[in-house]
Amino acid sequence: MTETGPVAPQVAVAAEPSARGASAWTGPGRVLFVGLVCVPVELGLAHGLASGDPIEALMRGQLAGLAALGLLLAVRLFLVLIWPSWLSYRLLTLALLSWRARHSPSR
Amino acid sequence: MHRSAPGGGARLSLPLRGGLLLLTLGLVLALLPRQVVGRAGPGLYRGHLDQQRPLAEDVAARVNAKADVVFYHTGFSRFDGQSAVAIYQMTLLGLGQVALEHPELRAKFLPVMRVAARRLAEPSTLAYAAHVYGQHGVSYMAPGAGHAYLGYINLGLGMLRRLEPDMALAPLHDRLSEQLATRLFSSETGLIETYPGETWPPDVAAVAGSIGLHALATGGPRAAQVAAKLKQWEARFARCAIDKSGYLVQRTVSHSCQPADAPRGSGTAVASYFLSFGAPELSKRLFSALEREGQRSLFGFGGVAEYASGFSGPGDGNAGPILFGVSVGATGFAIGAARANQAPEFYLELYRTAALFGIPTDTHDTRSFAVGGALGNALLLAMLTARPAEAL
Repeated sequence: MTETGPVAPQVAVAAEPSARGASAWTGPGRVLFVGLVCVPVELGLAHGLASGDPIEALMRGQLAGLAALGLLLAVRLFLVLIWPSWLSYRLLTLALLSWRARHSPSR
Repeated sequence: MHRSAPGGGARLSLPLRGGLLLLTLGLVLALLPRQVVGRAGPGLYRGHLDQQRPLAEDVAARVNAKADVVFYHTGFSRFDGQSAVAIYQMTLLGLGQVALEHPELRAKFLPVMRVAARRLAEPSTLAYAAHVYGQHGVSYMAPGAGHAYLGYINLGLGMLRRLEPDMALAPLHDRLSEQLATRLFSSETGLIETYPGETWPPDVAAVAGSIGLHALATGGPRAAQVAAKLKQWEARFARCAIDKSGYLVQRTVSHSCQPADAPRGSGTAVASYFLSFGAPELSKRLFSALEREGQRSLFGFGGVAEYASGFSGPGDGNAGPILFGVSVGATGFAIGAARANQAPEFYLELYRTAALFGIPTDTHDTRSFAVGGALGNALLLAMLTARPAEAL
């Protein structure tokens, strides 16, 4: 790799503040936003179902109740298992890219 | 090494991104979910008032709010009746256990326990029993008829009797205990039928537990005789109904020791809990089998396998949904078995799973599992607050 090769312009873009901001939004920022949307959805669904009886909906085959139950479980599992991993991955990726940008031989 | 991303930034190579993804996924799953899910577990295991009380308040409110004796109207009278019996029984056991742990709550929960006991003993709650036997066992038990479903009713009554020895239903409790003991102690297999042609060892465990709890609640010199007879019964029951895996056979052919179903985790776990009221050594034996044979752990979350090794099947209503061999029923009931047999680590792992899928939700001064409904919340209250035999 040389200064005139394909790498140098990209490093410059990545190290540039406005580009870093865009990367943060399309990376961890977006993931954070998804999480912030999911939390109230989970809370709302949980309170809604807790005030009723999902087992009755299950036994009677009530579609709205079943859909709410399915959505709640999906959001819950996403928030607890997937979302933190996704956010960590994005943060780690961003950190690694920034580190590379600073330590690139092109600088 | 890296290339342009559509957004104008830089990207890492595909293998590096894959490696990072696996690394973060592994690290986060191993460390984070166990820290954020089921944080109430240690307090619940230790019996803290601020953890037990909101759950108890929710279950009490659900029973108080119900005008009808039956909770579910699915059109299946067996399910509707049995679920109502389970809700009232577990409400009595759960609230009673909380009141034993925190005597200052007795006065608060006794009224709703009386309501639950009255409905539990009401023949119309389990109309299915009268339908198949011709009469409900609460009204009349023909000689030779098993009526082991009464174990659930009698166990619930026993918990109220433990707190209120002169309760209004004491004569019924005495009669049921006497009649069930006669049947159980004279059975060569240690088993009695639940309904005609149906013998379920976990139900028989409820009968044995109820006889033990009756003796505990009433005391006196007869209690020692009952304990000795229960000891003799344990050997016959274990010989007939416990598989070599240590799991309890879910169902047997009536009047024999021939299995009619596999050894199952849900039956083993609930039997271990029930037996803690009257046969603690047998309770411990079944619980040890759950630990040895059925325990599954991943990232701090625990579960219990529904089928013993070498067996498989589709499960049923007792097991609930089965995922990767682990059933909701076995996992939930094992919480009670774990607390009754003083296994804090197993309890905490199982509780995390219950909290992950059950979703504890706070509302004012109550806490309920959003997914549980009346049945799930009553069951979980009883399991989460189970007590060792010496603390009953």
